[in-house]
This record gives sequence, structure tokens and C-alpha cells, in this order.
Amino acid sequence: MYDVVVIGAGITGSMIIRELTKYLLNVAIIDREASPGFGVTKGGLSFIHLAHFCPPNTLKARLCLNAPQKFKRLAEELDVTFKETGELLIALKDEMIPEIRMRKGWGEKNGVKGLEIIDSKKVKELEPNISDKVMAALYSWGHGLIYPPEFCFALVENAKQNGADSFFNTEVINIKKEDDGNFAIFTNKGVIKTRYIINSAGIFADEIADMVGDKGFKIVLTKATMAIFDKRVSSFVNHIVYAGLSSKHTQMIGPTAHGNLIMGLGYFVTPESKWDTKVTKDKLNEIIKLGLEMFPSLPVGDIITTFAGIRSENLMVPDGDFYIEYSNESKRVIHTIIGSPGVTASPSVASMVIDMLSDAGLNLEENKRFERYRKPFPKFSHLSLEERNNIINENRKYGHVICRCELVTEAEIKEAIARGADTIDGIKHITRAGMGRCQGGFCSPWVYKMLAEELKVSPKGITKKGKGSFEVIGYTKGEDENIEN
Amino acid sequence: MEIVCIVCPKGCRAKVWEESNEIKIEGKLCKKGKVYVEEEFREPKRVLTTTVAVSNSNIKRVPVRTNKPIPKRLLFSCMDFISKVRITPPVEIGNVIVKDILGTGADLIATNELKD
Amino acid sequence: MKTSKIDLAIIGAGPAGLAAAVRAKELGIKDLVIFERDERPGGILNQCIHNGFGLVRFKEDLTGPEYAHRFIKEAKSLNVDIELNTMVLEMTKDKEITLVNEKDRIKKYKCKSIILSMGCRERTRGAIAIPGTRPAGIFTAGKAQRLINIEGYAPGKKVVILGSGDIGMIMARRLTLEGIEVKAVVEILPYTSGLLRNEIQCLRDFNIPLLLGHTVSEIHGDKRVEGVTVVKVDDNGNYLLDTKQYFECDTLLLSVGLIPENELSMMANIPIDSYTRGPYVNDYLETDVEGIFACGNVLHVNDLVDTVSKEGEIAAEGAANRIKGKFPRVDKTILLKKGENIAQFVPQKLTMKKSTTLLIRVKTPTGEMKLSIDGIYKKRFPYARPSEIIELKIPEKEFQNKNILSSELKIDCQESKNGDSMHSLS
Repeated sequence: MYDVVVIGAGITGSMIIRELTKYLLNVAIIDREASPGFGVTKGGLSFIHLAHFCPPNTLKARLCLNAPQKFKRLAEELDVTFKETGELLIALKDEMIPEIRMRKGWGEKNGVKGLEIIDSKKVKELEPNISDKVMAALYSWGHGLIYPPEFCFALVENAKQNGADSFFNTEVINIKKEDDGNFAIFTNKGVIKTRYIINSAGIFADEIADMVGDKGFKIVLTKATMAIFDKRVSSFVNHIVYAGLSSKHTQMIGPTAHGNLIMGLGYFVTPESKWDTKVTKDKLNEIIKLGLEMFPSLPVGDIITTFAGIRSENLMVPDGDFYIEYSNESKRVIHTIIGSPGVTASPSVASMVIDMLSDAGLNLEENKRFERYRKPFPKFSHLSLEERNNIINENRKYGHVICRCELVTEAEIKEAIARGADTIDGIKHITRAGMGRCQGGFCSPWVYKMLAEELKVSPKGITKKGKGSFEVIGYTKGEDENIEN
Repeated sequence: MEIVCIVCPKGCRAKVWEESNEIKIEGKLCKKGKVYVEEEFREPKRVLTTTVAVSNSNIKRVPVRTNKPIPKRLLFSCMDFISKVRITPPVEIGNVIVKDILGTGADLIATNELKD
Repeated sequence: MKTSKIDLAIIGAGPAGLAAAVRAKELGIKDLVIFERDERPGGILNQCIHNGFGLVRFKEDLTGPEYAHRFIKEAKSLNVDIELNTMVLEMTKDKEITLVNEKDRIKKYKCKSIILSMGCRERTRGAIAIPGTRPAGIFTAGKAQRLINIEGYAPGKKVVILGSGDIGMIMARRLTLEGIEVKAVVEILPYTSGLLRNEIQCLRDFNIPLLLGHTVSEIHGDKRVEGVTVVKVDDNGNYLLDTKQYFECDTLLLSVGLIPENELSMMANIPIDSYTRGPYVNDYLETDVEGIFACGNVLHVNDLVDTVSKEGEIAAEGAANRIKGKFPRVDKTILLKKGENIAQFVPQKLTMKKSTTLLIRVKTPTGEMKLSIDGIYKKRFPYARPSEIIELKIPEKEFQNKNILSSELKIDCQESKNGDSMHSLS
């Protein structure tokens, strides 16, 4: 019997599970995917916003306060990437100026300091490649850049370090409330019993809500398309630059935590289903066209990959504010149905959920043995030459570079597998191996071999992102015909 | 049948057929081209290049080739035969892996080495 | 951290680097090392197990590994030092390189001369932005070649190949021979982009459908590829949506172009030609940085490995001269510019101090044509295809007695009006 089970290991769920291990509780996290953060979290942007993104007097505004500082501290504890950058909300037309003034007002009401409206000359100084059409911009410094799947993995790893259990590739099929008020969660891997449930299942939160008896939870899905640029052109844009924030579309270009440029989102469309993450040519052309409006000499030829992500907003709260409430059926179930800016708000959401659990009767006794520092995970590419020299002394495999584009060594890939990354994408999102300009052309055969050896699986057991996404079908000469897949 | 000559990249085409035990060629061909097209009509031959599975080693495959062209119609049968062969280190370039494969008169030889 | 001095550093032990090392040794350069990132020398040739290599150089029909072996054996007998599993991390304009391997950890070398022979990488799905989902089962042809020939993996059961370059066609045959079904080779241009010999021996031989003027417009499948949609395209590459065809398959192979791997060159601020995507070089294959030479696929995408070896040798000759202090004094360098129907060429600069061979690719196929350098030198050729490099040999005497006033000359390819037109296959 668990005290708390968190359903969904996206950024929200991962924050919550880690927070829970600060108390003496039996806790677990479940996710249908092979790795933390593989759902909505992976398909979004990776900015930690200041609170001018949220209308004042909303729950989300409160939850976004001081987010960059919170993430910075977490990044230190978890040994993951965090960078600080500035942001420009630009106005390319007269009609956009009231919008940026409004945002400034929101920010000030929400307690954000240092928001400034600057003229086109100043904008051009900050962003030399920006369109001449830019009239003004809302400028602010102190936004954070993280890589969400890396963050999620580290949060869950730290939680496990502190005693949490995790169940991946595990899909929740049904939830039954027992007579004693506890719950039985039926999954494809068996039954998990728990006293309290946190529903942080992202775009599947409505299905989980339905299972506990909360019918009619409405969420609306939108799909956005993104493109990533070669690191070669990183200096083309210096800040996160947004244009045209509205419920219909948003266009942005900005740096990523790892030094690429990312561009998105286009006019929001409704995905065909919760599984529709395909990129269409129209959408790609659209985000390029919108991008060129902001930066006329955008290096379109340096796009190395494109993807689409689904995000959700709930329809239960007006103005798309977050829905973080107890279930109507039991105070032992808490629904966290959030939307944008979900990543930014997640540390505060976790704190809020802990408070709600306490109010619902959960006894929170401090875990004095809570280890806030994750076991460090040195990245060769981040080290100085001197540090690299030393670390190879400690672990020779740091001297064998496998991914040339991102400078990832054999030691890191082995470590990622040891820490639980058992898919190609899992290793990719934590080590960066395969995310460079050759997109795994050179390194992935090595990674396949390493996965097969470490996991002791047949070729079909090497998957891109979990069951069914096998990379190869076997050996060509039938050597694996008698081996169980 | 139509045959495209591949002796040089010009790719001249010819119509080839048999008439009273003689091979007839229609098309502008050079001397080398005529030879190629006749042979291609009579009995097309190809060099087979593939790999052989290795046992007892971290290296999984050794590349091999037939040391001369073999009849095109025997390519798949040879592949079938080769798929059942297992070799072990050491192997040197040029080592005969299968002698006179399927009676073609061609040997299957290793084209890369396999160290112990 | 060790910093040593070295006369010649060669980056990459593929065919270009190996040929360069052998030649450098022959010319008396003793202090040289080849740095190679893979676990054995030979470069991409190790996975090119098919034949067709060495027809020009050795007048033999060799497989990739056999061709590489000729040079590896020669290098061994000349005591060429090759450091394997070694990655060059940085290169500066001052010819200082930083490397890493397990044995020596981080080390630096100050070099008298460097030969770049890093080869190229493949263009990816992401780079050409094929719409659709992101399932497992999408491979560049070279990666699939490595998987099948080195690791022994079968990438899938039913394959569609996008791109009719040589790698794509070779893989069509390879997969078919291993019992994997190749449903079609799809090519966006109205003609194949590889050698005619491969079209016959890889596609026609096995009745593999070739769809010219088509492309893949969407990839389907959530976890693993389930199929692809193929459409016809117009002259500008736009989809003609009413021609959509669905091919059920579990694998998509991409053979959509090679890109010279010049990350190190760019770190050293070596100017790169945007057409070849390799460094600008003169007829000694020296880049704009004195003492740094480039050869093989890092310089420009080659079509014959025999030419790659020749480039390695030319680079070695130049490097040896630099090291010995015997490099000829160059008074004037002519910059060559692209003219009619020229896609790219190397070398882009002429010192006119030696005979040289220009390696040229045309933009569109032609029948009988004339290649000319601004009225200074011209030669007729019976045909030209973009996929086959044309060698324009210019003897040194052509530069003598010619008062070349300008510092820029144009290269043009002009089709003859009444020549024999190129035989097309489809």
C-alpha cells in the first residue's frame, strides 16, 4: 500500500514525486511512456518564464512567481542544465503595442521587476538580425532555460534515490475506490494500491479523472510545431523573442539550454487525436514564414529537425487558469490540470499539492535523510580541458567520444543506461547523443550495441521509445531466431 | 529483350534476340559493348558481395565476395547457403570461406580481416 | 596536459587520409600521425562491402575493404602511426589541435602541417523536414549500411528508399539480397542521381520500382514506421497532391545527400565554399590557411574513391613541401568562378605553378558539351551528368605564355547545338 501515487511523470508529476520524498511516505510514480517527460513535456518549449505571462490575480500567476530562481536552485541540486537569458516581446505592427503594454502591466501587478518597454533602436542593438519592422518591445532579463526531459529524469532519479518507486511503460486502465477509502489502480502491469492519488497525467488527465468518478472534465488540445537549428547559427538570436501572443497563435525564436535555437509555434490547430504529433508541410512552412517576418535572414537551411507537440488547457476554469482541485469524489485525489506555462509553474504546483495533501489528512513527517543532491552526472561537453583530463583519469570511458556532434562519451551513455535510460530516446534526451546535426548517423549504431549489451536483450529489444518502437527487427542471418524477444 | 550497356557511362541501348541459334543485336554499340551485351543475353553474371556471420566474437560479420562473377540466377540460392555459414577468427583477407560455391566455379572469399 | 610538436597531423584514416600518409612517408616525412575516431582504419570503406572500387587506380574490381586494405598494408609497412578511437576536439588557425582518447586523455599538438580528411556525414530526415510522425524505422542509407554490414542487423522487413544516389541504390540491392523487400526507390529529380551501372545492377536486376519525379510527402506510424505517402512533384519540387500513393512499409531509408564534415575547419576559421561545402583550396589542395590541406569527401563529395586517393596524395605533396620549406613561391593566385551550368568544382584557386585537374560537377545533364575557362583553356566532352565528376586536366604549359591579367576566371559548360544527346534511361 502506497501513501501517494503520482500518475504521470511529466514536469508536474516529476516535481511532485521529488517533493513527496522530503517526507516519510511510501510513494510511487507511474507513466505510460518509457521515460519521464516523454509526453506533453517533451513536445513543448523549455522556457522558465517571468510572471508577466500570466493575467494578474490568477492561480497561475501566483504559481509562476520566482520560478527562475527555483529552477536555478533545483538545477544545482540535480546537476542538470540551467541557463539564464533575456526576453523580448516584440511589436511588429502598431496594433501589437497595446498587447506589450498590457503584458508589462500584468508583470508589474504580479511583482515582476525590471520590465522595460524599449524602442526599435534599442531592440536592434540587442538583436541585430531582427526585422526593420519592429516598433518596440517589452524587455526583461532573468528567464530560465532548461531541458525538460533531462529535468524530469533527474527529478525522478533523485526521488528514487530518496526511496520512491517508479513504474514506466505502465498504463493506468482503471481506478477503483475501495470501502476503506483507499484506491486500487489497475494497470497493464498489475494492481497498485494507494491511499492518495495525484492526477498529473497531462493530456490524459481527463481520462484519469473519469476513472475516479469525476465525469465531464473538459480539456482542449492544441498542437504546435517547432523547428530546431544547428548550433552553428546560435548567435543569430540572443534572447527569447516572442511576437504576437494570442489565443490563436504565438511565434517565437530563442535559445535552448544546450545552445541550439528553437522556433515555433504557429497558428494553433486541434490535433486529430491525443496521439497526433505529426508535422505537416503546411505548418512547417507557416512557422518558417512567421519566423522570416521576425528575422528576415533567418538561416532556414540550418534547421536540423522539426517536431510537433500537444498541449492542453482545461475548460473548467475561466480564462484557462490552472485547475488544481480535489476530486469531487474524494479529498484523497488531487487533479492538476494545468496548461501553459506549465513547466514554469511546476515547482510551485508541487508545493501547493503537498499543502493540499496535508489538508486532506496526510501526515507529513519530515524525512531527515532526504538527499537533495542527485549523484552528479558530469557531461564531457560541459567540462573544461583540464576537467576533462582529470575525469578520464577517474573513468577511462570518458576518453572515448561516441557522439561527435554533441561530444558525448561512452562513460555518459553507460551511466545513462545504469540510471534507467533503456531506450534510444531516453539516452538521447539525457546525454544529448543523437541530437546534433548528424542526428545519430554516426553514434547510434554504437548506442544500439551498448543498449543490447547492458540490457542483455535481443536486437528487437532495442527500442526508440519503448514497446513497439523497435529499431531493428533482428539479425540478418537468423542468429536470433530461437531467442525470445 | 532490351539491354542497356554499362561498360561506359554512356548507356547505349540495344535490342537483343536469338534467331536460328544466332544472337542478333539491333543498336549502335562499340566493340566492348557488343561483347558485354552478348554475354548479358546469354548468361548474365554478377559478382556477389555480402557478409558472413561470425561466432564467438564481438565482431558480428565479415564481408565476403565471390572471386569471379556467378550466374545471376544463382544469387539468391547462394545468399541462402551463406546465411547458414558461421566462421570464427582469425580470418585474413582473401581466405576462402566457401570453395566452389554451389558449383559455380567461384570461391567465396573474405574481403576484410577478422582478428583473434 | 601534454603538448607536443609534430610535423604532420592527418585527421581521418579513411581512404583520403591513408593515401596522404603513405605518400607523405614516401616523400620522407617521418614525423606524422593519423588520428582516427573509429576503432579501425579504413573509414567508410569498411562498410562498403560491394565491388566497383579501384577500377581506375588498380584496374581491378575491388570491394571497399579490399581497396582500403591496399593502403592499410602499405601504411603498416611504412610504419605509419595511426591512433584509433581518438577524437580531434579543436583545431586553431595556428595549426594547434586538441585531441582526446582513453590512453593519453587530453593532449595537444602544435603541427607544422595538417591534412584534413574527415569525410562527410549524411543529410538527415530532420534537415529535409519530411512531414509526418517520428517513429522508429527511419535511417539514412549509410547508417543502415553500417547496421547491416558491420553489426549484422536487419533494419526492417519492407523498405522504401528515398533518393536514388549510389548509396540508396546499393542499399536497395543489399537489402533485397538479404531477403528484405524494397518496395520502391523514390527520386525527386527526373533522373537518377547515381551511376548508371548501379541503376542496372541494383534496381533493374531485381525489378525494384524506380519512381522518378516523386518524393515522400508524409511518414506514418506512431511507434514504428507503418507506411509512407509518395507524391509526384512539379518542376519546383512542390507536391502534386492528387498523385498521392500510399506504400505500406516498416522502414524508410534516406539517401538524400552528403555533407562534408567541416566542423574543425570552421573552428579554425578556414573559409568554406558554400557550393562544395568544403574549404576553398588551390591546386595544391591547400586551404586559405597556410599549411592546412584538405582532401577526400571533406573537401567535396567525390564519386570515385580512386580520385579520393589521388587527392590525398596531392595534399601530402603540398604538406611535405611546406614541412621541408620547399613550397614554391606563389606570385599570383587566380580565383575560378562558376559560369554556365556549373554546380561546383575543386580546386577553386589556381597558382599556375603546376599541372592540375579540375574536378567539376554540372548542374543539369547535357549531351556533348565544351568546358572552358574564360577563353584560356577548353575541352570537349561527349556528355555530362551531375552525379559524375568531370575531370578537366590542365597541363602546366597551358598557363605559360598566357598573359592572364585578371585575377578571376569563369568556368562554363556549354552544350553543343548538334551533338549526340545523352541517353536517358526512363
